[in-house]
Amino acid sequence: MEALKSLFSSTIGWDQAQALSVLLGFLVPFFFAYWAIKRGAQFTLRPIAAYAALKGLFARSAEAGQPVHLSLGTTGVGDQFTADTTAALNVLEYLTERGAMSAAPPVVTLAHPTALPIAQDIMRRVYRQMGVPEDYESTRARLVAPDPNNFSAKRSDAFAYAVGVMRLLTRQKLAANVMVGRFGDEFLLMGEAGAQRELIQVGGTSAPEVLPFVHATMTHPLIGEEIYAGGAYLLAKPAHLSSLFAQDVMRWVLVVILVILVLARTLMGPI
Amino acid sequence: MRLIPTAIAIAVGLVTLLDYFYANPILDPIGDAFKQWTIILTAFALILGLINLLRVHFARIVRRHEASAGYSIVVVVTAMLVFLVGMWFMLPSAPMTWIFDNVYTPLQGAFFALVAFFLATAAYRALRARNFETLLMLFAALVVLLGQTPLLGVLADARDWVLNVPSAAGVRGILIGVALGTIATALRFLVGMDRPYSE
Repeated sequence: MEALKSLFSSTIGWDQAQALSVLLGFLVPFFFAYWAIKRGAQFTLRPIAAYAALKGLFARSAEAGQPVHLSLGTTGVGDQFTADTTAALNVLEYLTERGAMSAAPPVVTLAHPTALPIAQDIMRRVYRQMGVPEDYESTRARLVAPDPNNFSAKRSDAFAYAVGVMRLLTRQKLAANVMVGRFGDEFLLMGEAGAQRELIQVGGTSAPEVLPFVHATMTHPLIGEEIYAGGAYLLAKPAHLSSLFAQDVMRWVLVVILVILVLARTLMGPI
Repeated sequence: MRLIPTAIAIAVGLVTLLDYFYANPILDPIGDAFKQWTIILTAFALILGLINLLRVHFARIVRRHEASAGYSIVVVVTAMLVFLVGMWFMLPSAPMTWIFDNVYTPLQGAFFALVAFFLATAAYRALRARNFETLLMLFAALVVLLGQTPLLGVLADARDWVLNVPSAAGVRGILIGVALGTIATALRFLVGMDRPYSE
């Protein structure tokens, strides 16, 4: 009781209050969309070429008997880029499902140790759900090289990881290269290695400074927040569709607020 | 069985979130403890990662016909050597600093130097005027590039405008979208509707 009393009498800062209001604002469209989807409502998703390309990859992969390479990025779970890793794990779930069907499971590489057990668990679970648990190989997900600066979180340094992936991209027979998650400058090295081999490449990241590299090297780029939509586009789970709906609603709310503030400042001077 | 991990995940998520929103003498130490546990879990994950790395490379060494077996031997020997030096001398220590300063950093620097060449080929591919979008990109890139040179100083204002207006607006738009995507992902975890950790 004392604990509850102390919680209610606690203070909240201005920054925290703003963040809390955005979070609470999200809840309304999120639960509304979830409720509507559960009752059969259909949401039309705008086409994203990269996800359409991903869906078409496996016919090619099965035909050629060659796997798809998936990079989960250079971050793991438990830091501020957990959402990026989660986006990559959604793509992994889809690729593993398709790979198990076509007997061409993806080769998964990662640079952060916390992503490894989750990636292996997702793959193992998918194989079990597909009724072929004996086909699961834990070494299809590989920790190539951890980033020595990951624990200090001051800057990314995944060049050792990039070297390992470049070797895989240039030596192994692959149907396609998929890179989704958080990346730094090393994206260019890996993307360019795949582009020079003329692989079909699907990739994206949330880091704005890396997006020119994504655009320059990927056949089908995913720009910024598009990486978070993978669960809705590929897996079509109600929770993913409703969170995408909430994301779109909140974006429009922010756009309207921004336009109103810009107009107000233009017409009335500093507010 | 899926109820227990989901309940733990929701509870930990909510407590961490409340700890961020409120300055509270009860929540603060709990939030700090959760952050410490993350570091401990990462350390254990690193051990799993090392085992995974050794399994992948030992398999290549055993299948001698693979062209990469030689490189795998180098990886295994180096990993074990650094691991043993680290365990024996601990961190930070002079031998580990020597390895980083004299082996890792020069290799990293040499590899980083390749970025310039990769950038040139990637830029050539990206800036070929295939459609209206790439034409605009090419034009903006030329303005920024030429605006840096002293000979074409007249373009300096245009360069600043490109960087401060359309480029900054685009980056901010992307950042807002990324922030919303991050919140949407966090929300799915918090309400227990996305469970990559359980069936």
